[in-house]
Amino acid sequence: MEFLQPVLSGFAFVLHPAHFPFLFIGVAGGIAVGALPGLTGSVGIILLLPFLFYVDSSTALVMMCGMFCGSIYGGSISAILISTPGTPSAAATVLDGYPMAQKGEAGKAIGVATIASAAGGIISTFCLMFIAPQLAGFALEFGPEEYFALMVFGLTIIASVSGKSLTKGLIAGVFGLMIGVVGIDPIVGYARYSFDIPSLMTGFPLLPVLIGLFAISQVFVQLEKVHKAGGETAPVLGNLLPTAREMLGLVKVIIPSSLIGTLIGVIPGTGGAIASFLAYNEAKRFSKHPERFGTGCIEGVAAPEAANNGTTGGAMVPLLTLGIPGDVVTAVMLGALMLIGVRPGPLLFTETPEIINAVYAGLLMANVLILLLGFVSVRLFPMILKVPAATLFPLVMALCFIGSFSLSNSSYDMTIALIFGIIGYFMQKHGFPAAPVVLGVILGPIAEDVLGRALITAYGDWTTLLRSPIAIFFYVISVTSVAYSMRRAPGSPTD
Amino acid sequence: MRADVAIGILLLFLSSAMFALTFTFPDQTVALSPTFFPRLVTLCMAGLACVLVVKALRRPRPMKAASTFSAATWIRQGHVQRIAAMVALGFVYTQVLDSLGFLIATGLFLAGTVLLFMERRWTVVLAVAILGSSALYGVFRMIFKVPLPRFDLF
Repeated sequence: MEFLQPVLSGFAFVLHPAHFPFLFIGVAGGIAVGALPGLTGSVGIILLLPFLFYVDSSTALVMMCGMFCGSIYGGSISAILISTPGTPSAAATVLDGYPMAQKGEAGKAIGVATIASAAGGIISTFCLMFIAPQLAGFALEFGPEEYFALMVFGLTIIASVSGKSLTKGLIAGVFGLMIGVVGIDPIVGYARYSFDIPSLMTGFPLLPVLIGLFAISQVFVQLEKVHKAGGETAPVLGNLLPTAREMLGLVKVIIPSSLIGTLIGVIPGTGGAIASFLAYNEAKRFSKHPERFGTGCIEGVAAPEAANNGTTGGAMVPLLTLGIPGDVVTAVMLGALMLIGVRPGPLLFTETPEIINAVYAGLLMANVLILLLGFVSVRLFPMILKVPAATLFPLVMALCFIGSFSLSNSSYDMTIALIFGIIGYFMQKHGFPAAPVVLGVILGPIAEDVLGRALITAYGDWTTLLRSPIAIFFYVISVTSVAYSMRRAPGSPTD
Repeated sequence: MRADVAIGILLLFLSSAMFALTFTFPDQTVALSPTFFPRLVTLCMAGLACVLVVKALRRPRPMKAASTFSAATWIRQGHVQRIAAMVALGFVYTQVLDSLGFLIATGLFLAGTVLLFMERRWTVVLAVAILGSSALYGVFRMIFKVPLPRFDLF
């Protein structure tokens, strides 16, 4: 019962009439963003940023959790209805979801995806509640040396989120580090690369950089698709719920898939796409009828959907306890948290436990809302897919600009967002991923700061970085992580 | 392939320039110099840029594939004009926001963006421009109290 006390206080916060609408907006907005091909969870978080400045930290975090869970679930809707995964996490859902829709069982496929997503999210949240406090307690022992090693490990995640080309991913990450060195340095306070321009003395503002790289660049990408016909007609929905017998069979798929998703989510730099394919593969391997997979079987929808929503709680473990993002969306979330004045890490658990409790309750409620909204608004989903680009993306663009402007009421920030939008667009065109840039921009300055502090306390002795067993452990897993990414990369050793 | 070479050379120039600029920073021997991190980062970028160029040059010329990015196709299909127009529109919007005020500037910006998305029905253009700018103004000015610029004749 003592274990449940923090969650109950979290529920009291989340269900308060002043806070619950924000969670609802987060989940509903997340479902819409996830369902719309071209918008992802990270873009959803970016679009929320302008609103997050005007609510307290706990509410902002709860709203982001809603967006995170909702967007991952929302990706399954377009995957099932039009064979286009709304988010990368839903790529595996297409394999059986779309064939089900073609057989006239789109409603049942969405129903199964809804149940599996909610179950996966709830199971992973319970895992988060169990793992996170233990890991945070351990992380309280960290000094600057351990933090520097942790940041080095965090930067190695760049290799994991590099996509098709490791070289281009690393270039994107180092580009982020280059952006991060502009402005006042943390040790002596010298304004680097500012050219005596006052605006540059504080460096590039993070919010416009994020808005430009993720959201404005996406509008430019959509501009290219104006002539391309996207008017697929949504199939007939039919019944929503699986039979009781089918449900019993699904339990054996949903629980292990949720645990696979949670485990994959905890490992930084992985994400829902990997988890969903892995869970799909395992479900097929343990199935009595593996030949049915790919032809439209409900287990083939339940496994990836339980796994990709299972990564939500998992990805929050390293984010909340160590300040290391678990995937692309949590990387953007890390930036958003820092913008609203929340510094993720072990101190969050001791100094502001109410924020953590709100996150636990928020994640649980977000998944309950997914279940409710999924079944209540299933008839609206085909309409979401019909929102014309000519209406949606101009409003997204305007929201990006006003979001940048509201940071410090200056058109300078809007110009920065536009410039990074252009950079982000060309990065996409030439296969450079945006997520490593965010990691570089956020983790680089922190790494420099803790390295400086470690060296000051050790009177400039660099060997202090190798005296801590915890630091050495992080260096070892950093090397392992990079080696794994290099082995996994297609083609040559570095690509 | 050629694009990767060009990007690699551009990044090499950028990192070289940033590395050269570190010699204008004050140096200090206690703990961490302000030059240390920028030099480390720019050297990494220079190395990676060289790898990108070498790999692009060593890669066999790909067969014409629809999925690969081609500047010629990009220009021919009108993408460059629309993207350039969008950038110009965005830049003009940032410049006129203070003088025209939020409602007028955003309305015009939205109308222009809708037109760039090839929507030709004036009812839709006007609806998005008027309702969109009004809704954004309502949320940010009325609810969040963001001091959005107002049109002032004098």
